[in-house]
Amino acid sequence: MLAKRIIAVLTFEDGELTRTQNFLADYTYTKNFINNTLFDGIVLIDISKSDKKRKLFYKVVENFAKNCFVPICVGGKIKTISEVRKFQELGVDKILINSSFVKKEFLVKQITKIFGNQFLVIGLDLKKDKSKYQCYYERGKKKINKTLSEWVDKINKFCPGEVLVQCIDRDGTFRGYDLKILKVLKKKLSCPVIVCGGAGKWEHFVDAFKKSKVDAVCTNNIFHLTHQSILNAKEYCLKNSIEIRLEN
Amino acid sequence: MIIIVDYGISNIGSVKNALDFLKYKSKVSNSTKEIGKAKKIVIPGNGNFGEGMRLLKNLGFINVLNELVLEKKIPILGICLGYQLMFQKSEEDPNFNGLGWIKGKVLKFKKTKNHPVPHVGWNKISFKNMSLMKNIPNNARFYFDHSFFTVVNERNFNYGATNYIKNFQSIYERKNIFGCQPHLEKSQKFGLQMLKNFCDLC
Repeated sequence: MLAKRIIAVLTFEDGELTRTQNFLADYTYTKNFINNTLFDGIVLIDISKSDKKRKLFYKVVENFAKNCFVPICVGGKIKTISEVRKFQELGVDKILINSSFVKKEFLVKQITKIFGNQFLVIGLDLKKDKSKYQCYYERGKKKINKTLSEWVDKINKFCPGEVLVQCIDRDGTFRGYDLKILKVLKKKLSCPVIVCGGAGKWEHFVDAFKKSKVDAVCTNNIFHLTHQSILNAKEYCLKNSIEIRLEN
Repeated sequence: MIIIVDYGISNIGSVKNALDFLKYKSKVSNSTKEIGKAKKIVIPGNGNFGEGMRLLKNLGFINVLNELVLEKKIPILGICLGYQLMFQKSEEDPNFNGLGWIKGKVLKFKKTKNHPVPHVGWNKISFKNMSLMKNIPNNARFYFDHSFFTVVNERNFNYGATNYIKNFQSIYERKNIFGCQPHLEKSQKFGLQMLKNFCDLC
């Protein structure tokens, strides 16, 4: 049986590892801290404000790709096919697209046509506005002018390899994932669903797998990124009858 | 020298990184002359079947690959799309014929309530006596990422099976032809072992 996955999400600003928006940036950790062996995948996102130091991000990606033999997905600021190809040459397996899906539909079509649908991961950034969910782009700054249901229909038309759902208001809260909306999205999206934002304890992983049936969970909590803690997380999942990869 | 065939759309970087890590001498190449001198060939994956065949044709690789594989019989490993290209046909693009080294076709998964498509993640391979699987336990997990699966229409071949919606041949070997659906170069220890097994073949 296919195993559920636990994925590490790491964000970088000008080539340095950062924490997400609800935290101050923390530069004490470097690219070398992660023990990747038990992670089922890694997502690297460039959140730099300008493109000036983009080269440093390429270097980060290169370093990960040379030492991590699990799938690597790269996102943030991707605007051209030649960039996508460059990442692929460095050893990247998937490209995460969010803003370009709003602004550059043609690029997204090109990616699936050239590299295959499995190469495309669409980022779906959500915020709860009173009781309604609203989709965002540009790192949560701009609203997408469509209802969630319309946007999901559009994503399905592009047949991406996966969708990465980021619950923006849960990010850094440790309250757990937004299980209700995930359950709805899991039913509506035809491809595998990955969730990011809100995990505080291992129980939250199990809830996302069991109650919302998501295919993979992400953590960007720095304290989860050690071999021992990821081993504990996986053993906890296993104890709760979740199919998971333990051998490595 | 192991040549990693670069036909413009595949994850050459990942395969090269894995071979470097294992300390095997390899080279990424898109020159027919260089490919023609290879002692072993890897065709990496990622990409669309039609686009893959179109590029192999345009780059003039088909003749040289046919000669290496069918006449010189050098070992060749196809990974993911690289494996699927070895078949006769694929539902991904009926306008193109595949390389046709393996009799059979490539079909699209039909999603079910509990099985989204593509098939993404770590799944098991069950097998018996395969040279690619030396020092790997039965039912070890490998990383898969694909929407199409292979249906081999041959008698004398060895294979490993994976179940997702259907049972399909996730690894294949017959004489000098080796194929695998999972991304070995991204399947941690067991994937690297499988790649090593291919490199160590005589």
